[in-house]
Amino acid sequence: MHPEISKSLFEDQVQKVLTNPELIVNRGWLVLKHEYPNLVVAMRHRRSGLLRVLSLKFDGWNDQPPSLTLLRCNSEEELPQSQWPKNPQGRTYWHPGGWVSGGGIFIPSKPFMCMIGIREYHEHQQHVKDAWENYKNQSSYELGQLLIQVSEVFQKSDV
Amino acid sequence: MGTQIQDLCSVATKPQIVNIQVVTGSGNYPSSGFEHYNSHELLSTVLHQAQQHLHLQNTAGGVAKTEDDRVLNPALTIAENNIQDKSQIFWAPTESGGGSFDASGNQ
Repeated sequence: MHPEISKSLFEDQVQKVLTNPELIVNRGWLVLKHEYPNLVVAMRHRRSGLLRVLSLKFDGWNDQPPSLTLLRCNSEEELPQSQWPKNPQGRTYWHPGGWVSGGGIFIPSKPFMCMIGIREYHEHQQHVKDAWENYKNQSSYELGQLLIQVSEVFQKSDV
Repeated sequence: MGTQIQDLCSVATKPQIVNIQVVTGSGNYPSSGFEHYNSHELLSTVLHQAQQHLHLQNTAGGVAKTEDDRVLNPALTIAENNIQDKSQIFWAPTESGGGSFDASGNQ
């Protein structure tokens, strides 16, 4: 996709979020940065009250899904793995760096979120057959809806 | 006592007008304010209208919740879901991925 088209799609969909105060307030989001291709959102964890800053990179949107990482609250440095959310009971959405699956598949060195719609999920070897192409044109995977899904996983996790 | 029970039954069965806004990550229905519904209407009817207006696809499996995160049942009526007047219903797709894991943390 041409970068200008990708940028335009990103900006349109970000605007849908920014102009939806009902959504932002209910979800406990604070949009810190929205400059293509970066979207940085602070989310308040309801149970613990703790804040986490999620940084999503939407380069190539929506030919490819966003890459996600967590940042320190007081800088743009990546959050140490020890402070990433912990998985909810029976699910593994958050993987540590160097994690090896039961099938012996090695995963990149950095911690990552393993959810459909997140680049790290679709790119790692265990899920390469579950292509983003199958989801990208569904309304449930447009930017705002995807952000809600990330937020839901975050809220269900231990922080 | 008998009159009170009669009154409660009357309230329970008499249709009420309930104002509702459906909030999604793709926009809200209606975009501002509320739509009026009869309390005896199914919640699925409300969600279907939102789906049509917001051009949402593949909404099967989506979860509707109240502002305080209470999960609603689309197969029940607005009254049975105990949805209050001037409510916002937050409707979102369910996240997928993150397979189950064994005790060692392996998928």
